[in-house]
Amino acid sequence: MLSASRHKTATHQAGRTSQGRSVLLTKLVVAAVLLGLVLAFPALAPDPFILSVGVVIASYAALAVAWNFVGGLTGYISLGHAAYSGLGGYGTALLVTEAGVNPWVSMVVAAVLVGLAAVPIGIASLRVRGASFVIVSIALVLILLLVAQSWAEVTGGSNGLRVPRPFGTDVLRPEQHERFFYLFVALTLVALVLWWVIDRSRLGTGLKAIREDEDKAQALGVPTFAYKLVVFVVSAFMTAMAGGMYALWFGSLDPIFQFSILTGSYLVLMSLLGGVRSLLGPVVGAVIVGYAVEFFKNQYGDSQMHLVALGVLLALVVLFMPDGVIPWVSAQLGRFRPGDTSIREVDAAQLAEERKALEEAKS
Amino acid sequence: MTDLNKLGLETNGLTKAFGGVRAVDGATVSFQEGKINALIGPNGSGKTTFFNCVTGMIRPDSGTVTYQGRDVTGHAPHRIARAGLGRSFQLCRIFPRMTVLDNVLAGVRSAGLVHRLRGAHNPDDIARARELLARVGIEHLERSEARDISYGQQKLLELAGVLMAEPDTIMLDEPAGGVNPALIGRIATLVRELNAEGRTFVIVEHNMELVMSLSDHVVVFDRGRPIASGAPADVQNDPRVLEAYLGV
Amino acid sequence: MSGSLLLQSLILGLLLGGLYALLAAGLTLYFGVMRVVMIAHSAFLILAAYLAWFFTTQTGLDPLLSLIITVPLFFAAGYGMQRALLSRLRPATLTMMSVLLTFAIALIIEGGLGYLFSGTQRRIQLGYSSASLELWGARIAVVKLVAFGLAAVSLLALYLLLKKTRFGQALRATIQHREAAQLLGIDTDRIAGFGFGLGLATAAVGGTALALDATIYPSLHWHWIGPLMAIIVIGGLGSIPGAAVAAMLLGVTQALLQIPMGTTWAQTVFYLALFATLMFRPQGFFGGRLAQRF
Repeated sequence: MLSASRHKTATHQAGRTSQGRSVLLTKLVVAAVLLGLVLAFPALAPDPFILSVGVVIASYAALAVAWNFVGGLTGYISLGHAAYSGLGGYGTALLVTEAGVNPWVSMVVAAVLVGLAAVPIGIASLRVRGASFVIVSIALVLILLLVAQSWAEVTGGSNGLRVPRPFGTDVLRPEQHERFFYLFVALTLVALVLWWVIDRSRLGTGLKAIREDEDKAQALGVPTFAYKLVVFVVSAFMTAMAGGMYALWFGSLDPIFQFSILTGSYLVLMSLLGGVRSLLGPVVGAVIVGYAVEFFKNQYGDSQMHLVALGVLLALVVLFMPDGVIPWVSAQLGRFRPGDTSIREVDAAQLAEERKALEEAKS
Repeated sequence: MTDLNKLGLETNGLTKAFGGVRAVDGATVSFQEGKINALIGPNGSGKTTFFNCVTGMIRPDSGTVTYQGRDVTGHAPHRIARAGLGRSFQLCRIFPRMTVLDNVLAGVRSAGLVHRLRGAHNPDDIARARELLARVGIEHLERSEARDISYGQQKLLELAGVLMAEPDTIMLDEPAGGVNPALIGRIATLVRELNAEGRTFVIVEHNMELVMSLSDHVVVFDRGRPIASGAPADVQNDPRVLEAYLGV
Repeated sequence: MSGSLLLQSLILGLLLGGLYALLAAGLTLYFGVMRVVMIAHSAFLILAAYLAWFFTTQTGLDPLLSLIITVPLFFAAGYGMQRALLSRLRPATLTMMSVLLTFAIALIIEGGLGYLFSGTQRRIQLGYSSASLELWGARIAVVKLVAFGLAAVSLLALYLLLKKTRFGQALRATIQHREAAQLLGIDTDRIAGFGFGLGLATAAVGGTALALDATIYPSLHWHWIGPLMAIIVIGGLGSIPGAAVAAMLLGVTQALLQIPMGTTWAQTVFYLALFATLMFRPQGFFGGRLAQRF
């Protein structure tokens, strides 16, 4: 009996591996082509403006992937990641201007400091369930905005800070854009690799268990608090790296934009739209939303309608495709595939959720 | 084999109130180590709250929980789980968007952060997870997402996940609830086998037939505290128990 | 520091605390009935303030009269929002997704106000705008007293509604234990909708009170949501009396700190108190079982 079932599993596996190998190969080819296109972008961009839009989108991609360490792996949604990017930016700027540290070293040191600061913040906000986490994430941005505007001796107040360029004055603007484009792409790749490693590790399994059902994960012995804190700090560090790099590229910091709830909500929209469960989801979202945001700004100027558009888009995603575009598209494609009865899947999922909700109410 | 005198799971004066209602009210219970214990009682008698207090999901207002002689009152749920006390949930809780195999692997005991981060799962753990899936009879589903398998299979999956954490004592909240008779038989057999291997069980169950046939020791709850305990046959004829159930 | 200045700050703090308490009660209601952190609460507050301002500039009548329109309107909007939007979200991810959905609504309101009325700062001019009372050397503007009176009356009405009526009982039962309430034959879905309506009605009242004596602009709601959320966490999520006590305490503390520190820095007291609460007493100071898990 036992050996028979073992045998069945083995054949099952053999078939699966060869199939898995071809899927993996396709994925690698697609990834290589995409990466090639991304790397060729500066050469293809018709003018410096388009190139600078590319840099903005690449910076959003880095930020969105950094956000997704918490959002995607634990399901905790932070609306205040601008706090970490802003702190990374200000930290980098201050280290360069006040202490005369090399810009790139400043960027890393600032990010490490932000990571350390994220420890007490995480302890305060992750100990209880989601609601307090969201509240703290918003409060943090608001408090930092107050501080950055009021503490003028250090932060320059509402006038902001100027950040000297890391490359010499002989490097012209288009050249600057090109270099920073590659730097942001590299940072995004580092973040993606790290996310992928965590996703596949035992830490990742525990985190996903937390995302699915935190009580259950705890009951199985997952030290949920420690796990959440680890990715929270990693996320803050990576976000601060992207923020510092942005400061070096943009050359000036304005507290209104650095510590903005809107920036944080862009990251959420990007990740959610692309799909928080997939590796490349946030990147896809960053390209779509980043392009849309720049397009809107260019077309309609500073009109308040971009807030309305962002709000409507966010509401639609939350209501109709909370799993993101990638899963949604594949589900739509799946409908035409014979043998995939998506109706039953939905039912089973909903049943499980209803049961969970019922029990939550009970316990 | 288990020493009968070894200290198992005990509670002393455990109390938990919600608003004005005392869901668990001074419950002093000791479960028999190495045996199959059943916890029964009418709806709303506080069994699930008691479970949640014992396993750390809810912090009790007063009273203590001791396990193997150690005070674990108010410890975080994962620490209680690591101390060897595993549990299932009423209405069955699995991780719906994770694969069946990952569901089991989530329960693995691990040491050290570096160890957790280093690459994928340990092959030994994967092998053990597959063994457990085979033991409950759903090894062919390991690649499916847990939300796509049937409710009965989800119950078996939950049990496999609990076993992965290597508990000495397993608390099951209504293992037979919403499950067809054939599967109830299968779960009962599994419980007996696991008990024969030395694991203690504490089972909350409404199916009296199952309780009476499966358990060695029965504790009856009413209004948040035990009102009777003993061998199944004795408890069945206890007038206090009849009164609690019939609400006379 | 003179005694009269101190007294004046203390009184202003209490008056502000009253408004905070009313608004925090609204936030607590949403959280109680649905475990929803309603980010758009303060956006509706500003919307109501704009409606009061618009009403007064168009008709020349007292802004308090706009309550006759805004309160029923907001109640209906809250009910509709809960039934049509929030109840569609999956229970498993409700907490997180409701935050995003209400955040989106806040953005739409802010953007809509900016589009219709521009970003210009607005202020209602009333006959009694500059009138004030003197009490042992402390000067208190009449509009602040009116605003406080409005908040206090509404809070009292809310209290009586929750404590003395059948509807209030059903609502409290739903907050405490949704499933048990269902077993008692309470239609908890409808009750949750009404709870939302009531919550939004507090924003209507609060917005009118705010419009009496504050300069308003579309993005003002961000200055309110932070302190309000801090208040409900410190009060213990889901506890209305807890929120009210926390609101008064923080209102007074903020007003007193304004003397040595200035307005901007004094605001940080909310956030410091929030972090301290989560660090040392994450279930809040007056909270029940809800707060322990959220």
